[in-house]
Amino acid sequence: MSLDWAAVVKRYENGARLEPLLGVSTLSVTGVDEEKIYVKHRLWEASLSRRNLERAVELLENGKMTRVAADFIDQYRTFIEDERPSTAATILKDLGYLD
Amino acid sequence: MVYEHEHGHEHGPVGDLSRIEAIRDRGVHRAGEHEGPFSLHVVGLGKAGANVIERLVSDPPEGFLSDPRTSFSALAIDIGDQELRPIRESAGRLPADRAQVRTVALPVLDRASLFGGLRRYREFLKMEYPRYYWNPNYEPWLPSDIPLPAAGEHFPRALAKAIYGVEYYQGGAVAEELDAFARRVAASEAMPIVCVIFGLAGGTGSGIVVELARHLSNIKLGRRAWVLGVGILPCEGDPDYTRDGVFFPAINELDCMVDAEKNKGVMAVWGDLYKNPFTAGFFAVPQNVVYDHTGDLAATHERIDAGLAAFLARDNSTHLYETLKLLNWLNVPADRWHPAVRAEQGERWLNLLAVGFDDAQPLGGLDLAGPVSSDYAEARLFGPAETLTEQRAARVREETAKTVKTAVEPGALTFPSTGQAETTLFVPHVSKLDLAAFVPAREAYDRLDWDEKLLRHSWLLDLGVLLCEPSTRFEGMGGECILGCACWVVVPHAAIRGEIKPAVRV
Repeated sequence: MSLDWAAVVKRYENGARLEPLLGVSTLSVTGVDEEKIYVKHRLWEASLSRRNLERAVELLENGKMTRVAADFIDQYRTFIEDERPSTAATILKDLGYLD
Repeated sequence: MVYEHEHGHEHGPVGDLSRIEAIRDRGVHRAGEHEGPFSLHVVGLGKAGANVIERLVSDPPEGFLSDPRTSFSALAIDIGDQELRPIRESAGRLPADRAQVRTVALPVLDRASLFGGLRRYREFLKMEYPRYYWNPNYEPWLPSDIPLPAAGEHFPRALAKAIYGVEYYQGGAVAEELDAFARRVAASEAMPIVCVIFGLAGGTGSGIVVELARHLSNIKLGRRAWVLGVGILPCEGDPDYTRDGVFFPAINELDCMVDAEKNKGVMAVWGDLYKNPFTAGFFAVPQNVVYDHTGDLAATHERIDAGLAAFLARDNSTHLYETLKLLNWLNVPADRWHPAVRAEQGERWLNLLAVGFDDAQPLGGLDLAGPVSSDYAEARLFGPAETLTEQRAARVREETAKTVKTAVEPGALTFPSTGQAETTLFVPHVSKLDLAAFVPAREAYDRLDWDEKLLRHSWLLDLGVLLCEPSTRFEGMGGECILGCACWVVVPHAAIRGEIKPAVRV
């Protein structure tokens, strides 16, 4: 199962409040397009690239990355990119790819 | 082999207890002929720190700079000039050839300058420390809509850190004055002792100190000089805004700095530049021991400032030196003792220094949550010879014993001096959990929203770590990452919150 981008767009097209992995929620999705998911934190705004998220899901499917969200963070930074890895984990958990 | 030595108990020849007795009975911490004189160098941060310097400069205690080999430097730093002007006005009373007194009024930067500097922070940290990880996710730690107070108003710790940092890293006056201060320390003919004084429940001093101490001690002084942290504890008479939970992150940041075990958990992630900068230890100054009797905040501050200035500077800082020597003696276990050994601080890194109180009055709780156990306590009594009676010493010992259970009966040393009778009391080795202010501050902190918690932090914010919140990366650890990446510290969140009790020491 690869990352179903159409489902991602449908889920986030009107934005969403994200449940944090731990602690207090300070993160929300503000939008999505064909290339990126846009997120807003109390201190910053950023985007996560579709390409990186798809690559992560591919490695998850192949059993090369862990489904444990907290441990996934370091693997994302190491194997994918240092692009807000805990935010990526939060998104992928929200989408059901991580435990 | 066991020795019975005529005071009601017996123990091995070189046990921890016998070493404490050696302090009381043989005065092993007293300065010998080969020690001293000492040169005092003081950094005062925020209103509390500036006021102690002002008192020291305007009314020097007996024996201050009496040895021609000694020198003195003072650097007072605040946001705005209100508390600094009186220092400059009094500075001329000291001998110009041996005293340097400087002040820095940090400017309240406009929003564009402040955030322009914060956006460059990675460059600054990389220049400071080649091992700094160039975090691609870095963002300024302040919300862009943060209100900017006027000089003289209350500044949240996170904002005070930002104002200091932007000035320091961009070569502002504070950077030049820290260099000048460090040159004076290095050039001291007499052994230098550096003290960094600030209030533990305010915004400016406690927000700046966690940065400035690293810059001064670890970078500019290369950890060569003794650098003592002196934090003034909250007072029951303080304004309400100081009871807003700010003490919780402030004391925890220091806890993760001074407690060697927690500090290792910070260095494990962020490197040895974040090693505890307080190479001489940390003193906490209780205020309620005075406020309980004055009932007046201004009068309390006056007496605390005077008492602290006198303790630090009188008799060419001999009392300060001997107290630091006592602390080091206690910090080293008997089985590892050697005169050259420098011990690390443990979770009982706080050492109470009570000053400015009237020893004819009850001591009260010394700002502790309840009775504590410690290795030892030492009072120093000053005044005309006729006031230095055994009755007075016995009363101080008895009052101390009501709050502090010591392994060996507290010592009471007497020092004839002119002027009115004064007493200081040193109680080593208490933990943050022993402080009366800790749990109420934690409860107040827990009621805050995320923005409010953020603004009460300072240390490590530039690295993306909100220390008192749980780590996102490792369950059970502390340090929420505010950048959406994985910044953290290897310190259990429960230890930060004080939900793991420190081991009993005695």
